[in-house]
Amino acid sequence: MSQTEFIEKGNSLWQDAFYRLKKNKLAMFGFVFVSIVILLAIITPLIAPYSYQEQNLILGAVPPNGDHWFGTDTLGRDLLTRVLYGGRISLMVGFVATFVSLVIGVLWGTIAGFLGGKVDSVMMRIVDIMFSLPFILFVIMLMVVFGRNIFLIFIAIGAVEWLPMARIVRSQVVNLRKQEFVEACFSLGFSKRRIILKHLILNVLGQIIIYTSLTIPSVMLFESFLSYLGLGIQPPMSSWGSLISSGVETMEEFPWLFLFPGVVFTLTLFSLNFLGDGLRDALDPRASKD
Amino acid sequence: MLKYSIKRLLESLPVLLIVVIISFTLMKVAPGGPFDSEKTAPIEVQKEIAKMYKLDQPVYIQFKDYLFNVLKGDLGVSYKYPGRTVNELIAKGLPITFELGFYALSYAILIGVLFGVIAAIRKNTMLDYIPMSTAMIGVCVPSLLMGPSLVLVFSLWMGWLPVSGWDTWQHKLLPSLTLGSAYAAYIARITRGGMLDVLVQDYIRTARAKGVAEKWIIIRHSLKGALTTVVAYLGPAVAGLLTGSFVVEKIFQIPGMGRYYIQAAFNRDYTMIMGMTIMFSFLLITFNYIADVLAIAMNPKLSFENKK
Amino acid sequence: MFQNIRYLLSLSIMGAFLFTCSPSKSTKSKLGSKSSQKIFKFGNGSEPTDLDPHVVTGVPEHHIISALFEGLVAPHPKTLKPMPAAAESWTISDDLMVYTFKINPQAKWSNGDAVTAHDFEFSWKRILTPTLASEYAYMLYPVKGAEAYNKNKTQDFSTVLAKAVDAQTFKVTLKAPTPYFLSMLFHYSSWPVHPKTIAKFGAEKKRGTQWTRPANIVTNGPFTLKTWELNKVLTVVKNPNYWNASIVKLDGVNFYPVDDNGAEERMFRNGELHVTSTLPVHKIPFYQKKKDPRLNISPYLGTYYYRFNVKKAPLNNPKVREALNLSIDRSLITKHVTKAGEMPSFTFTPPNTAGYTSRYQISKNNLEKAKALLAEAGFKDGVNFPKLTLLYNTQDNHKKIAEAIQQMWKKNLGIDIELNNQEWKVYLSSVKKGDFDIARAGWIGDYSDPNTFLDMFVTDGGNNQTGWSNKDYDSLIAKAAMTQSTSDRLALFNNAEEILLTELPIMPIYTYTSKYLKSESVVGWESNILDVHPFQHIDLK
Repeated sequence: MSQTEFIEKGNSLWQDAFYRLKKNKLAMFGFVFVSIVILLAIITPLIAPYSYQEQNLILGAVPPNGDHWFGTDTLGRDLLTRVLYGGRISLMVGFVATFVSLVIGVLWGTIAGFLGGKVDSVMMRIVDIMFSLPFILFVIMLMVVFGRNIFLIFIAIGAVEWLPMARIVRSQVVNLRKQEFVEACFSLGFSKRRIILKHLILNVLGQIIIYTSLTIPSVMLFESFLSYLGLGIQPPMSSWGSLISSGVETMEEFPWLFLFPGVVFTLTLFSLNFLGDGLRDALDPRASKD
Repeated sequence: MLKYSIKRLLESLPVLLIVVIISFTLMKVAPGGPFDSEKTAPIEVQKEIAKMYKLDQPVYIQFKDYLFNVLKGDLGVSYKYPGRTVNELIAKGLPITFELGFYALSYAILIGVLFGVIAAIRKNTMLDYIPMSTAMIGVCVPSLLMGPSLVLVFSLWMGWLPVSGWDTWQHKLLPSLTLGSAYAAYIARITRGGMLDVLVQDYIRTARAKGVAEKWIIIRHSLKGALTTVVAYLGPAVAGLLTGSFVVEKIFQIPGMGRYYIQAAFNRDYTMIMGMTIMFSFLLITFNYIADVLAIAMNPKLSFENKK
Repeated sequence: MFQNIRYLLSLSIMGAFLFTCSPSKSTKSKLGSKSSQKIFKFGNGSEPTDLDPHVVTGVPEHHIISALFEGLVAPHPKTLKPMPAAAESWTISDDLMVYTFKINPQAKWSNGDAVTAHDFEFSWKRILTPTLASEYAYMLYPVKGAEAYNKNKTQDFSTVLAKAVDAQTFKVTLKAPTPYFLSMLFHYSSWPVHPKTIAKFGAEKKRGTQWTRPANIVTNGPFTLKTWELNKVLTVVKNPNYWNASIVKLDGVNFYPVDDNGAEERMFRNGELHVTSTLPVHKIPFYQKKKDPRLNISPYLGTYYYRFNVKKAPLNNPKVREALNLSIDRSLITKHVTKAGEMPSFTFTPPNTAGYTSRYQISKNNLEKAKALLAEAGFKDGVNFPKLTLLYNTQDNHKKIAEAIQQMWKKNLGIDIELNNQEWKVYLSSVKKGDFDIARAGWIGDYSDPNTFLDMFVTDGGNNQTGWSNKDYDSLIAKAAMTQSTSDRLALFNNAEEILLTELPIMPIYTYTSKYLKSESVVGWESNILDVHPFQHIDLK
């Protein structure tokens, strides 16, 4: 339908937002690219040409050719396969850790914002304290005390990333509490719990979506940082982060080892960030900037 | 305002205490001690070492002793580098990390605000997309990728800049760029958003209607509002910078606090780790505090939010 | 007006770019710069923890200390035979138990004081002092009474038979003939410290004082400490009071504590270092292909191996351990993984250690036998074999080797091994506690003699850590320590090593090489198995 028809039709907040999002070319590119990457990650076991751990020591590292589209690493392992499997791990870490931080952050922020008063102060003070903890030490210690496995990585990263989420959610909740319709809900006699769950969270959803889509790339970056320090995924599994970390060391001799994972990783981060930006532009109610 | 400042200050002290407690506990729980080495010394010698560093005392006594010393300003002696106090090592490393962070932040603010303003004014045109995409590179290319790449191009291929170290401005250029680019992107984004928010306000429309020149609209009226959000971001930005410096300092072999910190963690140098944790936390609290106060000074409306 | 701003901005950016375009008038002096000083730029691998010879334990510290201090004897750069240093001569009694050293009357400290036998007695007392808790005090245990004093069983130092008979004579009595005793003295644990300086800082019994700072330190070696900038550079300059100063050609040495070996190699290529501490492995083939003369690879006195925790099933079964040993292809690893000219190891003691090579060797690549042994142990084709964990400390090389071995065992024996890496300190603690199934390890000899390798595995030996115990082995090692005749000793070692290599609580993989880059302007640097290169013999052309 034409623009005028669309506007005249009158739409809910969500449809408005979706329309704005579609107009944003960068965000749509991001969306498409991320979808492709996720799809590839899911079907990787079906399409990967080699095993991710089979070595060919005599072959060693060779540049891209007919047999190995991305070349091989110093142990003769096919790089395309490892990038595909790496994507599974990186994306998994990104999504799951973000999900963990989401759950903790939203619950925390909502409860603090809604209950207010002393409880609010105490809960937010705890957030402040955690902000002051140099988080790298915290994560290192967790990894070291409890050993290294992938679930711990999810939890460790998630446990650090929930802080900004809690702050955002809490301030949104505080704002919304002051809005009229919440008072209306009170006067209608809904039980407190229903109020929290249904109305507040729905209205905060916009912020959450935006923040989530920006947290995922940030988590993936953090994981690459951990891999650099030797705290990431155990070999022979690898994430994009650990592929890049080891690729950087042989950057001059075997540039493809860091170029391919590096480019793929960077493009994915780009896409996620553009998507997140687009979502923010689209969902932000103040965005009547057209 | 003054009341708020004092209140914030007082609230920070228990935070520091909790930081000390948590980091002390984590250090004690973690496996691996500072004196484990491949050539195992005889048991008697190991006992003597434990006694020397009071590691054979009950944990709560160790903590009590440590706390008293911290209050006196004595962060103890490094386990890994006997003869060096933690204060001394921090005094050596901190100014360098500060300098690196300062340059990175300056670069980030300069480029970030510039790009953000341009992008906001020319929204949805190429002048919006190009600066924002360029800035985005800073976020999406991790420093452990960007740093070595820059070194490859500018030091090894071109020979223009040195490979590592921290002496002349040529040494300081690449590390500052590497560290600052992610924050340039964030600041660009925030500035752009802030500018956009302000530009649609009524008072801007009024100014335009009154015929005020565009440039003044930008500089006098809008920028201040936009910068308020940037200032609010500075707190977490500095936190990120301090920790982001770890990787950059390692890549460029810069003798700053970040490098000491990583080494101390791997060496189980308890006193160093705790001392630096306290230092970092103190700095973070201070910066957050300054940023908050600055933000309120720039926009008194914000203080109502905190009246709660 | 906004146009103007943009215009100005782009101009200034271009200007800045052009400015940086000019090749940097480098303030960091590169090699071959006009300076008339011969300063040797040495990549030292990590920041020294201290410079106190009685307290430190690492190789980077060793390099610096060997420039600053000097012991009784020093190794000849090529042959590693003991040469006079602070001692100008010595006599050994017929029963090989009493050493009498004559201190060189020309030997001086950097402040002009004469080096005397009393300095040595003071220093040996210091390193054996229990409260100093020196981790290398055991290097002096061959001296009669030393062990008891160090373990605080007696507080009377006169029971330790290392005495200054007079100012020029230092007499040492051993508890058993120790043929390699002189080469043990190459190690800095037996080197002297300046008594007055130590006393001034109250450091006789404790570590961590300020006596090693540039303003305070007094040394007796070819160089003195000039500056010490943490994590940046440590500089030493020629010591005019050194008794042999006439042969020292360098004006100074700068030690750079670069711990990232990729960064170190780049610095070398950029002309900022004369010699590196090591070399990233993947770069070696490139240097080898170009036949680059700056690449140096030579055998080093150390063995890279895996430890088995023999207390954990099924590793308690020697057949299993042997199967694991026989089913890996060591030459594949040295040729394609480590690639630095290492020799595959089929013994524990490196071949030709002070003339000793173990007669008994693990058989090479006997896959048939390995499979048969595994079947005999009840795990035919790897069925039901528990999933063991292989532990190594976080480092790229260890990772690659572990991954390769993991694959070899899977392919050849059908067993699944899990890999676990921990960072250095945690890994050390886990190994010490026995918290592992299989663990990577490396052992560098403290001195050039098979004993430093073989006495590790006596029952409850501090460095054993496998839980393995064999009474015959213990008695052979103890007997060798008391034997005078070299051929008898070597025979005993052969027997002991045969036991070690049949029971296999370990899996030797390869013999170390030292690999590093050295600029062609460096003269007087000889390769040897201990990788010692005394700075007084180095020159820069």
